[in-house]
Amino acid sequence: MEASITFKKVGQLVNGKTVLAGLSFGIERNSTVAIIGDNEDSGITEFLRIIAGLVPPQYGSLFINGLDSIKRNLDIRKYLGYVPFQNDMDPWLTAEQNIKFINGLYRNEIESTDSNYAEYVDALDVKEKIKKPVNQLSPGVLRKLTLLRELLRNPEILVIDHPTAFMNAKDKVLTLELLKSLKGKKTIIYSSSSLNTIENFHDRILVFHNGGINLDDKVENMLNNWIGKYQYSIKFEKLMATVVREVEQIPDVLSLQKENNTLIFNCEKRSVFLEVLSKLAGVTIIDIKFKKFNLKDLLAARFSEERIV
Amino acid sequence: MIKAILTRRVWIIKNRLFSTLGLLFLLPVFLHTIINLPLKRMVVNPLWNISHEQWIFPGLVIIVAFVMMMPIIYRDFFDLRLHKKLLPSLALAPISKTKFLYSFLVAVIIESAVYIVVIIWIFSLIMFPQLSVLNYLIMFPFILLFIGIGANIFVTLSLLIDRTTLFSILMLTFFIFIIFGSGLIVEFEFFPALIGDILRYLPTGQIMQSLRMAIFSSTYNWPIIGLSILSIIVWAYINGILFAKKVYK
Repeated sequence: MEASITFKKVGQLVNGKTVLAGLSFGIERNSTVAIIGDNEDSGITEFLRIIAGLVPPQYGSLFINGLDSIKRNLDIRKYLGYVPFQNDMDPWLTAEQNIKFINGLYRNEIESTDSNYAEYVDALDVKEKIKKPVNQLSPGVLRKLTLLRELLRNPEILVIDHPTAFMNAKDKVLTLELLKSLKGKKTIIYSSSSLNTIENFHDRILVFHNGGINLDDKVENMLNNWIGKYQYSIKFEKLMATVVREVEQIPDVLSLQKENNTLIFNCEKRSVFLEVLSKLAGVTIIDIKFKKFNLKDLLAARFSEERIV
Repeated sequence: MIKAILTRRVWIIKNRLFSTLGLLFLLPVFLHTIINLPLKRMVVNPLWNISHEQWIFPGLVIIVAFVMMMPIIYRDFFDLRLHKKLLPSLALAPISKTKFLYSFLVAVIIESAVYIVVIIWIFSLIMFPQLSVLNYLIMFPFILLFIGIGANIFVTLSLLIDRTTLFSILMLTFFIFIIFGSGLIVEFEFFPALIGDILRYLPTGQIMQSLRMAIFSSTYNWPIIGLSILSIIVWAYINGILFAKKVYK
């Protein structure tokens, strides 16, 4: 698939400290990339700011749709929409005036009667709020309105620093539904501290750690590569050593552990469990527990000795 | 782009109509009361036989226009910048920051021009300076030149300073200088010779002298007018570079 964004050995220092180091990778056009990491040290905010064009990369090069981000600085702006973590709207204007002003700078005249305007306003449920002065709106509503401001320009690439931060449950749902409706139509790059959001909305997850990308894949692939998809815990009346040996023989059984009379193992497919059961004929089983691994388990296993989330 | 900037200014005025109009209408009355009336009693022999009202009129108009211009620049280049509002979005817009600054200055000058018309009207009603329509028309571009120079100084200070206290002190100092050291209400002849000479040759002093020469002796100091316009353009360009450095910081 064609790359929308290409990093070539991008490095960045902030206050003398390396926050990004030697990043080289591409982001495919119209893909959804979720980013997670340690908010303080991982360099995510700087990473997003570099893509958005707020700061130039100090080392290496960044290409947006094949254009060098420094040499073709003004040309790449039209492709990008950026929703910063902090609200940056002018407090003396209404939200609608803010949206119209910023879009005006892009020569994009917004009319309330425009079809996409009405569509997005309805989707985000901001019809009443949009007419209010910015200083009377809650941070969560302002995030929805900032997203609206960027969407109305119809940018190819949408960079969002924590899309649902400060939002109540209803607003979170509306925002994510809207973003999901754009999946496959735009390149969406977003950071989030909500593992649930990331797990359900991505084509690819980048796990940042100490200025580098520690993991980079779909959650399913990452689980398969690192801890498996499922975990079974079988409690026996008395766990015999022969049973353990037999289960160990099954090639698809991962991370086999014995705790008292309980046998714990991970696997990629549920059929492995049936295979295990077939080896347990004549043994009394007291309890069976099943768990489907998620991103949280993966990160906990991967960074058990380091703070990552 | 200038359309977007002007529209935004109209929205801000509309959203704060009462305070804007209140300031615009009350400030001339206030300045007339605390500056013009006492000075009129102090000045026994007017310089060059020009009536006190006529002499001080352009200076008072400039002071009010200056006060109206200050919050515009303070908000956009200091307050919003410090609070990280608006500027990140401006930084990302596909426009050169120098071009943005030129457009912003043009918008400030257009807005000031509207204020100046109202201010001249109010002062002429309360001061009766007995100036002709031609005098008012001549006065107008000079005041805009003065505002252009002042706006550039304000933008530079707003972009260079990051601390509110220091900015407030410098603004106050600068404002006092504009009122008393630019020949707006105190003629340079009243200063000690050396200080008077220094103030006279500053851009603000030069514009004020040219303005009065044009009104009272119909002599136009074209080199100073040209130099002032050039200064505004070059200074705005430098401010544009400074602005770009600040927004991408």
